[in-house]
Order: sequence, then C-alpha cells, then structure tokens
Amino acid sequence: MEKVKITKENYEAFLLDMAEGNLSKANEELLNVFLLENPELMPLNDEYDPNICIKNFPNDVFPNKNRLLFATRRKNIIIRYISAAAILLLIVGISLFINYNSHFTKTNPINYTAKSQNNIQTSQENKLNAEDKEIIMANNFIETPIKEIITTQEEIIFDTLKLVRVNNEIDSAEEIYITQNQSIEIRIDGGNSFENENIIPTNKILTYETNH
Amino acid sequence: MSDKEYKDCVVLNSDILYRYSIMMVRNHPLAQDIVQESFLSLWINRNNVDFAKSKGYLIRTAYYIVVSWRRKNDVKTKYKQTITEYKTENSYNGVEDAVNYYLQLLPDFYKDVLILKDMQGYSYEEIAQMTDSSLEKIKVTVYRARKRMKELIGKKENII
Repeated sequence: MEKVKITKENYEAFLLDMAEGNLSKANEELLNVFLLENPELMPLNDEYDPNICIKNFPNDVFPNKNRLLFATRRKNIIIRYISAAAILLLIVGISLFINYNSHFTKTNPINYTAKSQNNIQTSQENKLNAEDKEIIMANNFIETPIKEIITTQEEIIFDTLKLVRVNNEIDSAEEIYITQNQSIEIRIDGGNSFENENIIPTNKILTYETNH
Repeated sequence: MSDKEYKDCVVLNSDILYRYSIMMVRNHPLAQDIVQESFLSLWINRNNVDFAKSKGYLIRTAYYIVVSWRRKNDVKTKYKQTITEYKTENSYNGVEDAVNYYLQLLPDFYKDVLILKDMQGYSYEEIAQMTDSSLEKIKVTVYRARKRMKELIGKKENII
C-alpha cells in the first residue's frame, strides 16, 4: 500500500497488509505511530488469523448445460424458419406456374381434334426448303404461342410463333391470331390466309388443318 | 469471442459460477437462474468480451444480479429459513456446515468479498473494481470479516 494517511477508518487495511506481509517499512512505522496514538485500536494478538478462510465449497454441477448454449438453439430456430419460408415460396411458385399455364389454355379454346390430311391446303411459295427444316428439327426448335399483343377485345395476336405446319410442310407465318368467333387465323408470308378451328398447337410447330 | 469460445466458456465456467451463486444466495433454483442470466448477458455481449476475461465478466454479472436480487427481496427476514433449507437439502458434514453457516451470518458485503477472495481467488484490486469500491474498503472489509468469522467460530481448528 502506498504511503497514505492512516485514519480510524482505514487502519485495518494496514493491519491486513501487515498480517499478510505486504506492508512497507515506511507504512509499518506510520501504523505503529498511529496505534500508539490510539491505543484503544491496538489489535489483540489473536484478533486476526489469515488462516481463517473459506476452504470448503459446494461440489454442485450445473444441470443441463445445453440451456446455456443460446447460439445453437437460436441457429436451429433460424434454420427452421428459413426452411419453412423456402418451402412456402416453392409452393407459391409452383401454384403460380400452374395457374398461369391453365389460364393460358383457357384463353385459347382450340379444338384438338385429329387432323385430316386430306383437307390440308398448301402454299408452295412459302415453304421452307428442306435444309431449313432439318436445321430446325435438329436444333429441337421450340416456340410456344405467346400472346403478346391484344389489339382489340376480340383479337389476340400471336406474334412470336413463326412456324406452322400446313399440309405436312413447314411454313413461316406472318401473323397468327384468334378471331372473334374463337377460330385461329394464320396469315402466311405470301398473303394467303387460313382460318379454322382445327389448329393443333404442338410443342414445336403449330399444325394447321383446313376444311377447304 | 467466437461461438466456439463461448461454448468452451460454458464448459469451463458454468459449474464454477453455479457454486459461486449457491454460496451467495443459498438457493439452488435461484442460483441456476443467476447462472443462466449471467451467460445470457455474456452471449449478448460476446463480441465485446475477450475469452480470457469471460470468467471475470460472468462473476461480476452474477454479483450484480445477486445484489439486485437482495435489494428487491427482503432477504434478511428469510435468512434463517433459507439456511435451514439449504442445510437440510445438502448433507454437509460438521466442519463445512460450520463454515457455511457462519459465513451466512456475516453482513452481505463481508460475505461477498470473502467469497470472491477465498473461493474465486481474486486479488483485492480486482474485487475493488468488481464491486465498485475502493481498495482500502475491500481490505478493511476482509480484515473485519475474518475477525468476525473467528469470533463466531471461536477456534480455527473447527474449520481448517
């Protein structure tokens, strides 16, 4: 302990240091002077014993230490919430996808009857040549009708589909749209126009058959 | 402190803190609550506490919780009842009973300082910092507590 003034309030701290052998010479002299000046504070010989201390402690073990591991528990909860949210999003996504496809089918009431090869009208001028057809088929060309432009309430133009099968020949279509009476009209490059309900959209090429 | 260090801290210090809390409050369920609150505090502040100082943080937190609990509850009136319950609950032998019993008869601050000094082995400076007291006050308290213990027990052979 540093050299400080000894008072009646702090002299026991000096006695403690002295008992434990930590009191400096200077402070020991000060303490002796203080005790001579205050004989009523003079400690008895056996008043303080540094050996009196707590030596026996409980041997208890904290039960269930896992409840102190907040990290693991909290992470598990977070993982559960994230998993639940991911599953929910997946379900919503699938539902939206199915709903979108069914809506598209409903807006195109097309008759899927079998086509009659005898009724197909050809347009030789707009036929694709054989090489083009091979390239198209080799690349597994897929172009699904997508409604892009709604010109009026009655007409839905399919602008992206450019290929039709007419009389077993693949042609390119200029415009394809649904007319007011729900039939599909196809305009070929050459200016010929076909309108019939017996249009079969496939996953590759729109197949057209005519009653003419 | 990383998550792994926190887990190591739980393994290393939970029992120590539990025993310290039992010594302070003499009540097992309450001691468990104190341990849990202390570790929760450490978990929340783990980014600001070094692993090397985690034990001190836990002891200090538990000490503050105990002091707060004493203020909220009328501990003195329930004092003897708690001690009796503890003695019944734990089959301590005569020597340990004497030490623990007389320790509980000391004033709270005397008891706290003695437990921190003897049980946890803290220096006087550390105890002073932990209890927001002056070094002189801690030394005076230790001196008076040991003196009082000796008066209560009578002979040191009873406890050594």
